Amino acid sequence: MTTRSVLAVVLAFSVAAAAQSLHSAARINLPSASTRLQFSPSGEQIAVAGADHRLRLVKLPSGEIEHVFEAQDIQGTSALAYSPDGRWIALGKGAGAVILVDASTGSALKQWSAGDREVETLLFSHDGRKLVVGMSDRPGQLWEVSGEPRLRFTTHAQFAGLSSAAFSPDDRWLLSADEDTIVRIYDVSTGKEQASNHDLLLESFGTVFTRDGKQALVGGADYAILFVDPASGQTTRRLGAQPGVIGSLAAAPDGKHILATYFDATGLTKPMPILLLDLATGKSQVVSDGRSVIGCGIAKDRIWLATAQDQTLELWRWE
Amino acid sequence: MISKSLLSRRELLERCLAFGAVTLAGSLSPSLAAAVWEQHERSMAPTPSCELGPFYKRLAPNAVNMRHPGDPGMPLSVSGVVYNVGGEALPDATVEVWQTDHLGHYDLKGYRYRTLLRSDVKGAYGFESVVPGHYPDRVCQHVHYLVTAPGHKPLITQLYFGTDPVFAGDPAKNYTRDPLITSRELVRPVMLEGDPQAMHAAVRFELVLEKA
Repeated sequence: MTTRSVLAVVLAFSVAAAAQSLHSAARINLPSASTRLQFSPSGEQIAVAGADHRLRLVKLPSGEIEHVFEAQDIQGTSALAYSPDGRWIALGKGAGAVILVDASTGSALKQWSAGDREVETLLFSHDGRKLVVGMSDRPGQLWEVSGEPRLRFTTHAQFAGLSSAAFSPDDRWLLSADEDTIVRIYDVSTGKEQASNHDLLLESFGTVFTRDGKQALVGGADYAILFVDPASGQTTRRLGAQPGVIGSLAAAPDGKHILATYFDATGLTKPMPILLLDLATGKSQVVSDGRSVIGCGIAKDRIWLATAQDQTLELWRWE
Repeated sequence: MISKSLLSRRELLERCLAFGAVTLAGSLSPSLAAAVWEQHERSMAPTPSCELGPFYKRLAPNAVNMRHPGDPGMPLSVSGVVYNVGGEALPDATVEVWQTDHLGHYDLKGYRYRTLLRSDVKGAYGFESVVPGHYPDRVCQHVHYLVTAPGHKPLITQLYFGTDPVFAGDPAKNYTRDPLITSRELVRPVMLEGDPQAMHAAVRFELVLEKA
């Protein structure tokens, strides 16, 4: 690992408060302004894309840069996903290229072509043995990646392809929100479509199962989040009037809330709030107004946010 | 000299045979050769595909006129024919169209500037709209298409306008300024029609579907 720049990590104070709020956990100076960030589920690393077109793997909490992907190596990267244990990173590129790299060294472990289009979606199963690959306007693919990469099955849509996907906590079901706006649920072991939901009219970008696996949540450009029974595909509840197009959904560690991010369909550049939705009541609380946020996620059983200003990256913990 | 265009393919082939300019293989009759030739001449390349984009909306109404009275923006008339790659018109094809308003905003809550059309007996389709606006994260003005017909692959594509300022008057040279434009062919010439008080932009966009 090479670190050519000075790196400083400052652990900031957080003031205990009765209500949950964001607490600054770390400030990290990087050689370049950060544009996007992804948290490793283990909470031990972040992958930070820089304005200098490099991708840095940064160890937490030390802030040490473990690996730098140079611009020429990372050029064309369109999707990135950590394995649940944080040991692997899947990178997706143009022309269906998928690369599995060792998250601590950045060295490529496996590499294959899944098709002819740019990879837009990558998602590991909870056991880390399977990987969903979604390409632009192509059906989703489920790959077995524990050994030599092997295509298990391909999802289907009336046209176009996969928009977003989620595994049930036991990896029994794969939920596929497709660009034809239909939500389909597959049996992972057989690849058979088990159920479908036709209640959304526009594309969905956020999909997640609740921690108990009893419900799947789906939302996108309809400005609504549907609660879907995975066995039947039926809508059991609808949370309408969301503040924007739902960009992502993640199950909060307490099992009672869902973290929702949004984007603005009219400008695409306007900051949008990040909300914590109560599964029982549907009520929401604002985690962040979205300004300067370049990434958020669930890591080490906590909700994390990252903001960036110039070359300083700040990590925030919700507690 | 005989003008080729004044003769049918069949007539031309027959004359060539008569003068010994063409010799057919033993198993090939002149009429079959002419039919094959005509078929080849009619054959069309499939319309290049272009990505669906994030704001397709299902169950759009059938509305040939998407432009309401008083709508701001340059009026737009788009027409064309849906063909198969053999050059035959496809009647009753489904042509779904969606676009932004003149300011570059998609209607997600309703169905403004969204329609679902069917090609007529001659494969023709058409609609009235406004020239779509530009919006952030997307370089060019465009209209989305999803075209389906039984026995054919769905076509997902986009129509672009040769008059878009992004092309600086030279779409052939500059169409790659929008990385999503997959082919120069998707950038269509724009004709200004009507009297000076009621000008509108007119665009032809033929659609060619591949067999499933």
